[in-house]
Amino acid sequence: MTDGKIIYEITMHGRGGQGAITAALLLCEIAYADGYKDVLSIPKIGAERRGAPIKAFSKLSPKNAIKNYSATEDADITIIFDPTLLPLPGVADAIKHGTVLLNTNKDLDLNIFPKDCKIYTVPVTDIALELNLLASGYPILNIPLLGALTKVKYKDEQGERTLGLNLDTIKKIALKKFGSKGELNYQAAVMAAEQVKELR
Amino acid sequence: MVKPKFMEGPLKGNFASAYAAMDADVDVITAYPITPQTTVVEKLSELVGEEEFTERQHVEYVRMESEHSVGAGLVGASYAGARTFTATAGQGLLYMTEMVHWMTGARLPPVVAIQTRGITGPGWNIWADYGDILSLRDSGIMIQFIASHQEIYDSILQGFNITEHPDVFLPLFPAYGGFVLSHTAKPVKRIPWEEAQKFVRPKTPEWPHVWVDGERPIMSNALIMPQNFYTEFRIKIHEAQMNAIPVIKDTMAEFEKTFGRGYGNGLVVPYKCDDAEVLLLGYGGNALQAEDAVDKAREQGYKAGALRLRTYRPFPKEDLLHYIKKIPYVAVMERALAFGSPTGGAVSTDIMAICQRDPKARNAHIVPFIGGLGGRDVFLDEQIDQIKILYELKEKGEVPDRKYKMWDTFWTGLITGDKKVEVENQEYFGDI
Amino acid sequence: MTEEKKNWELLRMNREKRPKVQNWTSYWDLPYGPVSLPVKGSAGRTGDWRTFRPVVDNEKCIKCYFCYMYCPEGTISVNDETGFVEIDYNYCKGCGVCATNCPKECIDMEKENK
Ligand code: SF4
Ligand code: SF4
Repeated sequence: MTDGKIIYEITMHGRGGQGAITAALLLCEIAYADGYKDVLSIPKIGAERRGAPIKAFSKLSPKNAIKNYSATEDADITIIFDPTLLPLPGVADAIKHGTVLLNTNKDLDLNIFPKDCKIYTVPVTDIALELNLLASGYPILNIPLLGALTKVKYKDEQGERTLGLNLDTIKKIALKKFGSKGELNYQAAVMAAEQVKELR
Repeated sequence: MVKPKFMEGPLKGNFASAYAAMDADVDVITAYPITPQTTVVEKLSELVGEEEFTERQHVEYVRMESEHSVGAGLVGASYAGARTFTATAGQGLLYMTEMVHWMTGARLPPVVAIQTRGITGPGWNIWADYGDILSLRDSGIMIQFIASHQEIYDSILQGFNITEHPDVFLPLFPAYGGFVLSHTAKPVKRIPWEEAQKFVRPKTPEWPHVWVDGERPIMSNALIMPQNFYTEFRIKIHEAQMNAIPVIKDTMAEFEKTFGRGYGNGLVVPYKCDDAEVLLLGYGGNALQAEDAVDKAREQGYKAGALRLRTYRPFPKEDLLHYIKKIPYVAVMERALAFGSPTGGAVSTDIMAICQRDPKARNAHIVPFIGGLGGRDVFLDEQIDQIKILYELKEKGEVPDRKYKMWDTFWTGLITGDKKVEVENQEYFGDI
Repeated sequence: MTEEKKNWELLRMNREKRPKVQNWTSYWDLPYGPVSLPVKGSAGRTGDWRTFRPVVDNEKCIKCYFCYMYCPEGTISVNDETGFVEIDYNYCKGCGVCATNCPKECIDMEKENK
């Protein structure tokens, strides 16, 4: 890794049961397998119930040790599992810079985000339903969203680049973690990577 | 040989505890769940049945009905010579307290991992706060503060080499922040079984001082009259604590030599102290983060250093004094509140005491900071502000004022009303 | 093997090397913890304390050994050959617990002639 950025901070906004906490951990495992020197996943544990808003964070460091366990306040990449979360306090209004990846199949009012943010959307709920990728009746969103993340770019003074994550690594980790469902997860990740749309 | 399911990768702190206990070849685990410890005993209950472990070791996993029984179970198994492990936190530790004193009184060597959490009086809290483990400060146990996931694994693996050392025979309680480390994940490398066994102390069929043997019964816990040896046996526990200082150092040195990584000398971990003018002293995750604060402050021209207190009991007096004498402006940051104590902090009080007894350190400036209670994040800016406060003290000769300074202690992160606070879970508070 | 580990091997005392009697005179003699080894009459000749002496009537005794279980001083033993209980009067302190618990009331507490 030759990336000059010291640490990527990624925030996941989801609802209880959508897998945001698992996604933060999986992202760390993928990044570590893809050569990041240090990673940290932070679940924000509160009084959570299915459907309640949830935050989870990943910090990915290409070169240096991560020593800061505090939650991210100003994320480089924000991943939103559900468009209904946008108006809640601390979701869209907490985005100050960087990239946004949103799960939706609809159009989006881009004005709610700061001017220089890059915005991506991907319909992972549709993809999961299409592939019948379900866990206790709910569509699984985390691996597909991470699939989409492989195509998402981050921009700063040093230019635009992806995080350097590979679909192959996602496959390896999905197979190891989810056994028989791993292949289906991987398919969903591939589809999400194809269908992710750059809006800005 | 079955291929291990996990050897290296991002791992939750609690899972690191579980793997470390298995790799240290424990015989008996007693278990009762409590947030945020639960995933330690859950993971252990899985591991004891996994093929990787069953083909080479037998671990007795005993479910108990309370933490008091967990402590009693550890004591019982430990009397018989077993290598024992458990984990607990907060209220669970309080409930176990009586048995903790039994462990030190009988000089038994278990290792008990603590996922520190706020103690629940009214004002329920389950997040990081070292108040729980510090409530056992004077019980005779050895206390270590752990700052990273790899360190959790390494410390538990080293633990039995310290507790079962014939000069020591005291339990060790490595403590790490609940949720801060227990539920977050960071890369951890396990040590392969053969290598780990070469490092870990060989097992013994029984201890030299207590045993369970029908043919040669002993009685532990006999009544000792005041005029007999009670005082002396109490001092013996203190002596064991003093003996543990070189043992902890040697164990860390041997570990570092064998596996190529270490944490200071096992007692304190210095960071950029060589040319520092002011010192951030702390423990646990916050103290690791202080290293980032030091780097940031150095970019702004402040020559700061960080010193992490890794072993709290026994108290590493010499090592702390070594740095304090060189760098006499010290901020002591604590994530626990000792109500009514001279500074509000147990550690800063101890540090002031050792400075007082050393003529060369008597003039050092020790500035107590307390914050991050009940899991509140301590931000980098707040730690950089600590460095700035020390510089103001250095230049003006007196401790500066801040709105969050009361009774000569700085209450880092205090809600002073200057900033709007976002109240999560508003429904809990309703219309008060 | 380090020096300390060698010491450890020495410390793994086999039974023979363990102390038979604990004779502590100062702080520096003390073992790790307060462990007592069982010896006969560690509290002295408690037989001297007696005002009443328990006497067993073997005619009525049914060998239930309640007395043996209940005696707080462990001074009652069972004769291997006859199966009857025997009391060690050097240490029986005359508390009467055995007499109270005997279901056949065959233990008499007789006044000592002192
Ligand atoms: S009188 Fe008391 S001490 Fe004596 S044999 Fe009976 S129970 Fe034991
Ligand atoms: S309790 Fe009474 S009947 Fe039973 S063994 Fe003793 S003397 Fe005999």
